[in-house]
Amino acid sequence: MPKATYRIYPIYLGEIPEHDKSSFTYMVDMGKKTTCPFISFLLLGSNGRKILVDTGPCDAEWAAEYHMPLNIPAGCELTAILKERFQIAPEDLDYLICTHLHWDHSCGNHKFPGKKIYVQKRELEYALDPLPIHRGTYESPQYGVVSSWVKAKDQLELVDGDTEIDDGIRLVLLPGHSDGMQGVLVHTEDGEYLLAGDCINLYENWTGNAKLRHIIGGLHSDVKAYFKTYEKIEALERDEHIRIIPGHDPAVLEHEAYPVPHTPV
Amino acid sequence: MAIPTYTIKPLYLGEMTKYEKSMHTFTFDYGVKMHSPYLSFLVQGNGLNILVDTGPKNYEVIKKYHSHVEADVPPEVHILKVLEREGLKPEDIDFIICTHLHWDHCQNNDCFPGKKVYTQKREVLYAINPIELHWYTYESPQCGLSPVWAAAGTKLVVLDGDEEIVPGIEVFLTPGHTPGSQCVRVNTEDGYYLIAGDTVNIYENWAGNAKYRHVPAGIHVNLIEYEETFKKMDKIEFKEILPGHDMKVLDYPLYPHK
Ligand SMILES: [Zn+2]
Ligand SMILES: [Zn+2]
Repeated sequence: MPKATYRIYPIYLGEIPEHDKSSFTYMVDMGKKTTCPFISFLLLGSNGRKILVDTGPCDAEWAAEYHMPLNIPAGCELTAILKERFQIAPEDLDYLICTHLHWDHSCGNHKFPGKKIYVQKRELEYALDPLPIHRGTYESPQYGVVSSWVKAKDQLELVDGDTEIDDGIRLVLLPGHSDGMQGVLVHTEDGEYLLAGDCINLYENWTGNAKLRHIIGGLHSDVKAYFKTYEKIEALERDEHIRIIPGHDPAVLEHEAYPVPHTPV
Repeated sequence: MAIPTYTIKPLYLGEMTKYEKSMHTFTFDYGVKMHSPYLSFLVQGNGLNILVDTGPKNYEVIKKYHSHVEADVPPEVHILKVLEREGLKPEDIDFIICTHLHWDHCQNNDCFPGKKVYTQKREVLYAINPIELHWYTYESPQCGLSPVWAAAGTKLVVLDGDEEIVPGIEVFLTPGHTPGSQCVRVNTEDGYYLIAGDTVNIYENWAGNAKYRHVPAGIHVNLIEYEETFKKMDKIEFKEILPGHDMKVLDYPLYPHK
């Protein structure tokens, strides 16, 4: 049993204002537009650990040129938020975890010089030579830009599969949305939380609909592997009663921290 | 000896009337609706009548099990009616090639009892136990249906990769849209034609766009395999490609065309 417990703080870093919903929910709600918030998570441990999960998107100008128009309100810069809201400077962090190397999760990696960034080995391998349709998403070398995660590549700490990296912090390989996507299992006072990254974009991906138990994300490489991964998460639900926090659901931001404090009756 | 040549007649077997275009062109044109036909291809030459895919059964079946599809499949465009107008009875068909085992490509296989149906081993294995997302697409037993490709009287011939079926007719394994999709290459007087099945839903999938040289179908199993398939197809010699669901295929009643 882990000794340390953590609190999970979601941090809002702007959004894609016009995002086709079916890119969250494969073959469901095509043509319907929704917003896609960018979310990093700060984990504060009872042991004093300060861990950052994902570093958010590039700035709006870069995105407009290479990806799509973004809405990044003033004050949404990650290091500024860490400083103002949490009084944490980049050097105060113990280490970082990147769920995957898509630009909207890794573009701040270079803002934390010298800090270890945990990534799956498979993710790095894929990011270096992805399918043509994923080159932009990874800002891969073939895309003709030098992405932030490439700038900070010497900080990458590669793990190969499910790995316990710290007291109460486990990385779980969840291929599907990306080849080497990893979730983070965080031990809290209220049991295990899974930061699912974009394996589960929205709560709806997991709750499913009338026809499907779960709905995979619209961005993926291997649909079959994605379904296998969902079976793995089902097993975690069954065996460890995990709670899931999705990667891009606005509802995640309704709470300041997880576990949400119980309101006394 | 010269390789025999064939002609290819696209057969219109009804259509989807408001089909979501991004299901054809993955991540492109979300929300755009289009007319998209169900097609078979009648390949004739060297004394043979060969059918590539057999199309949907009838509107009642589609409405019952595939209610998300708005379709127009009147009885007069059922495959048997269409063949009748070509002067052909089921027994005149020498054999069938199924590009893949999605319902809209094999739902009338049982109309040709005893005729060989060439399909890929990988496709059969997947069709028996697809992921939940594809249960209805394969009408698989997991959703309580009985797929027509496995009906009594049908005669599957299971292929394992690229193969010549008869001189001038070859199949190429092209996974991506489904694990065992295959394209059919037909030798004609005007060179090779490639009947692509749903590996290429519409011409745009193959022609590509400003961003990609080829665009995968929105329905797919593995995009990494799909890309390998596109690379393989880049190397296959053919003069024209015939997509699986493009109205423009019907611009010509017969291929090769003038
Ligand atoms: Zn994302
Ligand atoms: Zn089809």
